[in-house]
Amino acid sequence: MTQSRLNNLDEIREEHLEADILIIGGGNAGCFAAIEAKKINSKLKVIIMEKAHIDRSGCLAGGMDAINTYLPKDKTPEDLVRWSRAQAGGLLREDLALEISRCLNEPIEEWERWGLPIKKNDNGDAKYRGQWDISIQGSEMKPILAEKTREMGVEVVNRVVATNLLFDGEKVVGAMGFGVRDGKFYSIKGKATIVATGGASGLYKPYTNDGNDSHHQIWYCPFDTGTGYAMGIRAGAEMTTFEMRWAAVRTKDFNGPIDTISVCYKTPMVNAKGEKFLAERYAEYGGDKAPRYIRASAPMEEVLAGRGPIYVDTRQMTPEQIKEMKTDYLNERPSFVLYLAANGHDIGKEPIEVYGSDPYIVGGHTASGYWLDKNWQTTLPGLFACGDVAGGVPNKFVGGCGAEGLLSARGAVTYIERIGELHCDLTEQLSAEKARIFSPLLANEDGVLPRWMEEKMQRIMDEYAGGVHQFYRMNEERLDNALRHIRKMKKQVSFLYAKDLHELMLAHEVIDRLDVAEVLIYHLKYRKETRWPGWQTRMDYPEKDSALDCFVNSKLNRDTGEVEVFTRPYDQIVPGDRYKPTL
Amino acid sequence: MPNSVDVVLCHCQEDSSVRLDLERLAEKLSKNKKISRVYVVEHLCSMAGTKKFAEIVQNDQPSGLVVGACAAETLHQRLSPCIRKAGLGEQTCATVPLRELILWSYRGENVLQAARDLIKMAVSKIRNGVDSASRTARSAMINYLKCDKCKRCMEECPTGAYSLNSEGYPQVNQDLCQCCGICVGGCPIQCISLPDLRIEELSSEIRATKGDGSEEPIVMTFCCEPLTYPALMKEIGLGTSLPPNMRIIRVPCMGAVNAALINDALASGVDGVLLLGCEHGSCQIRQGDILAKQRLENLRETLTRMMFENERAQYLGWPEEKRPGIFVDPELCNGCLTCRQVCPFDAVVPSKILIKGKERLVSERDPQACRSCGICAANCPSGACQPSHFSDVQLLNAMDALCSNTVKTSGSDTAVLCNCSGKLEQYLDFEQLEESLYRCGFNQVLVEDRLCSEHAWQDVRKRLSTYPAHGVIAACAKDLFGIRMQKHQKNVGLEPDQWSFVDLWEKTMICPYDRSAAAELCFQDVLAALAGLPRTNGSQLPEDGEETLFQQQIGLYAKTIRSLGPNPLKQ
Amino acid sequence: MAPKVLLNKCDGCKAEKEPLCEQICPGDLMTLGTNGKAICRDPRDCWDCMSCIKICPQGAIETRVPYQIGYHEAKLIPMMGTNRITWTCIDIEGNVERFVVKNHNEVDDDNDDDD
Repeated sequence: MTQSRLNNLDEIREEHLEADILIIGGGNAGCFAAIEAKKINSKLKVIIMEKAHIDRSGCLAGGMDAINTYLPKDKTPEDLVRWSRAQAGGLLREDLALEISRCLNEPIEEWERWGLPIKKNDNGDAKYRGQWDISIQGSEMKPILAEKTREMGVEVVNRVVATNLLFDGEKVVGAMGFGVRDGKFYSIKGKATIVATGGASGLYKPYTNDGNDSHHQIWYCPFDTGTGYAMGIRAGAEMTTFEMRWAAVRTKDFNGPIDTISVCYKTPMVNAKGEKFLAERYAEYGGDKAPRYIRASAPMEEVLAGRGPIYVDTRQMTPEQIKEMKTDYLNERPSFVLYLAANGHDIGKEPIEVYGSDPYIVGGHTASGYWLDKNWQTTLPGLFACGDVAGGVPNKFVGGCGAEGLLSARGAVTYIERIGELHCDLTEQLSAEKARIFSPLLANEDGVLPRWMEEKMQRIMDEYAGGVHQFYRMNEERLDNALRHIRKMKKQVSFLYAKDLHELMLAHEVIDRLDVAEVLIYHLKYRKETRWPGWQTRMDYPEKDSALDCFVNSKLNRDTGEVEVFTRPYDQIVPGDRYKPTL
Repeated sequence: MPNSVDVVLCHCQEDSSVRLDLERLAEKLSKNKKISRVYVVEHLCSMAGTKKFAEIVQNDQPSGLVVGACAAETLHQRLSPCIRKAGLGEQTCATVPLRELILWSYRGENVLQAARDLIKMAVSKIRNGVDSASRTARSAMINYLKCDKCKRCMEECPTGAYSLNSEGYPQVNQDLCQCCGICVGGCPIQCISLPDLRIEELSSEIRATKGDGSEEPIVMTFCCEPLTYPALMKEIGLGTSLPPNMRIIRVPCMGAVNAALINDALASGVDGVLLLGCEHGSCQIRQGDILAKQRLENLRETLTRMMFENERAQYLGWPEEKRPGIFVDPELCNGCLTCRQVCPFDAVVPSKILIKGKERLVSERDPQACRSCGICAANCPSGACQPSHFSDVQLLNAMDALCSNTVKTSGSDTAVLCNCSGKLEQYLDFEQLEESLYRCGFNQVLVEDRLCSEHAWQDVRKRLSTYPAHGVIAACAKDLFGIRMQKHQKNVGLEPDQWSFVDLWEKTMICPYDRSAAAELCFQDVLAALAGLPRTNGSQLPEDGEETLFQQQIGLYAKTIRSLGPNPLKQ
Repeated sequence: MAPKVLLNKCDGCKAEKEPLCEQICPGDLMTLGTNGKAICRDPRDCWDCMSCIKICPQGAIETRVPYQIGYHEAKLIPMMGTNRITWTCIDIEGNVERFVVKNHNEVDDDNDDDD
């Protein structure tokens, strides 16, 4: 049963564990990191600290219908980097992207051997859905991966929420958190720590949330709340490209994926007048193959111009295709099929309406996240990152995040061989964090509920930092407004109170989101240009500025408490026009 | 994964040439990529046949084997030493009772297709098996990589064999586990298995069926080891035909049927799933039927919500055969109730009755609970408790007969011996046996070929010079064929209740004695049988043309499924 | 979307401390109510990944579309086999659609080779 309020901090029991490698977050990337570490050296003690249950945690809880990206036989890693670079508007870490592309297929081939069904064409090769993605039947892909993780001897600590990193001087030596079921205070020491907590959803108000039962009717996993970013931000890690937000056109109201329809079944996107506006108005960007931010913003521009609603035209699909497409959805977001049924929607007769999603910070799709070195180490020694929290490489998706799991584990294993045993006194950090974690359970009940603060933050971000209700548009003054409010809220977190452990988790989620939101605003303010319309639309600087053709990075100055923003130059390795997908 | 599976078909003589063309079956099967080699062997159960089988196993070293023959259990026991000797696990071999399921009970048009379907199911099962190394345990096994500690197994285990280990995972006490599979059937994650009950295997076996190619509905029938599988085999022995596409899956108990298996069956297009278990509350394993019904009800409710005909999944309670029971002589019973203390089944009911005007305490039996084990009889100080067919008098008579080599015959006692297509005389001196039997008072001794066939009994009827009061049949596979012979006997006007049965085949062919010793052994057996040991257990045989309960119920179910039309999930 | 627990079917995982839906829910939303049955503590926070529905041994949970975004009343029911899921979808007009989807690779596929 859920623990209720506390009388004092001494009631909290403690659990202290030690590992060679601690992995925070047991999703796709985290599991692959854990498996890889065990493969390199089976004697290593590897612990996964998991907020939910590893069988169904992370974005893959409901499954996937495709692995994006996967390197076709006739393509080279350089080809993939070229395509990905163009899709991301010319900005990515080419060094990292190349490394990922080189081992991209490795985790997926393993996954198939462990039981993940991959659709095949008549030759027995993986069936490509689009250019870089293959079709799978992945509704149980996460349980399959979790089972393998356990089989490799990885220790999984489920239902423990990570809240902050542990330090020995400059070095990261593990993390702290609390058990959302047992109510214990946890510390897990690790010679190396890999953060793999996923991206951040719920920073912005979703348009589906109108005080109803659809608060989490959003595209990205609502339980990925940016904790990994926030822990790094608070510790002064260097973050990159937060301003490259991820928003996409999704099925209206449901906020479900549409690649399943548009990529797999080549259905065109049309406006209310029936015009294929991408081909007609965005030909210079590549029409239907335009970069993803164009495909996100163009439909919303159509709506603004009075040519909405926007549809994905499914009326040309055959009954067999419709059935197959629904099967794909059942493998990824099963409830979309239910949603169609609940609207009596026959997609053979009526097209599917689409609309922009709320923006997310998610490094598997864009370049937001930790700034990494070539060993996937963050700027904090001993802390590695992979998956959606790792920055610099957009369009990683499931395949790339799995590959990053391998790469970060390789980096971490090499690192621990160098540093040897840990001898450090953590007493002070532990007691301070314990007090911070549990304070909402001790706080005055006449305080602030986590949900109130979450909804306020989401509204502020939506209105002033370019949310979907503002058609992703923003300007300097609005961003200042947003920053002012977020800072005020950050000062009020001491008023957060929680009735039970579940609410305690919600409280820390909103605390983490506030930290991410603040850094995000700094990034948005710094990029005084519009590089990715839709993802980052500055109404006061509508054009691209060549002076900002670089990475915008940030770091919390722990002495002043100020976020410092600066740039890092672009390093081109793969030759060619950075805005073109091919040579 | 066993990737080279051999199929060995037994060229049993009876009827096979007429009903089932084994050579063609072998030819068809040998084209199947999942089967490495196909053999047809004569009389697998004979010394020569078993030797041939051993050679095949030894030479091919297949990773799996499917045997298509008769009397699956007896034969499996006979062949298992060859399998073990070749270093294979026993579970890598599946025996399909082709004779019973095809020759005796299949009345459809597509004999070949039906037989092939059964073999293919077994091949699929074997191919999805794990290596034998992990199957040495004698109790339920938990896959801890999957288990999520829900502890349902602990809640439902009827013997309390489960406890929690230090990490909170369930663990099995080998001494308490009776391998009933109730935990296997209840596990939501399907992470429990028994050495010879794995959900993955059964699932692939179930999914492999394509039916006999006719329009007849495919009915997947789960039968339990203690009751309904033997009962079904008896029915088949009696000549009951099965619906053409009824497929049998053996499980230890209905409680071992995991809902995932029913789901798999329905998803793969099977038209009906029948759980053929015991009647309410009479599960020998305890609670298996109750749990199975609860789980099935849940599933049926889901099916209803799915707007899927829930009649397709049904539980059918099979009435337990009346046991011969324990006879308590109220005259001898002194009411001490020692029996009550020793009865393992709580079947003793003390009751007060009037004897010669006096009320006396005597022990009686609850017929539902009594399993006729005879423990009470062994402990009864007054000799009042006597198991039917095994009374003290009968036992003593048998011992007398064995010691003196004579038996008190009635003057019209008959022995009918089966020579099994002339095979048996290679091992047994029938002349010597006949002579001995006549000498000790038998009125008639008849040697017949293939007593399991009807025409043999018609021959017996013709040759009988006098109507026998008692008789002894000496043939093979008593449990299976005994009942079949009763039917034949009845057809020719003999009273099966008055006959005893001797496992002649097992005593000679399977145990390699020399000829005269075998004859001597059989002689003694026949004497003992006639003197009262062990009698056929007098089942109620149906009149000709009368439908058995089984036929009625299965027929009704098959009719329901037929009326529903094909499973909408059939692809 | 909200998971709805069918009270006549849920057995609270035989009064386990944590029923399976509670163990699996990625959002820590399912829990055991005072009536010994599972309950979703905050239906608006559900992401309808349907993990609880897939794992429920009793088939006692359904996903419901909130009326705000869908009409009354459609159903999507998974039936879990060993290596496949059978989905049934019933729309508001009562139209039934069924899907059998493989979700694990099998040692042996069901293809016939000898026909």
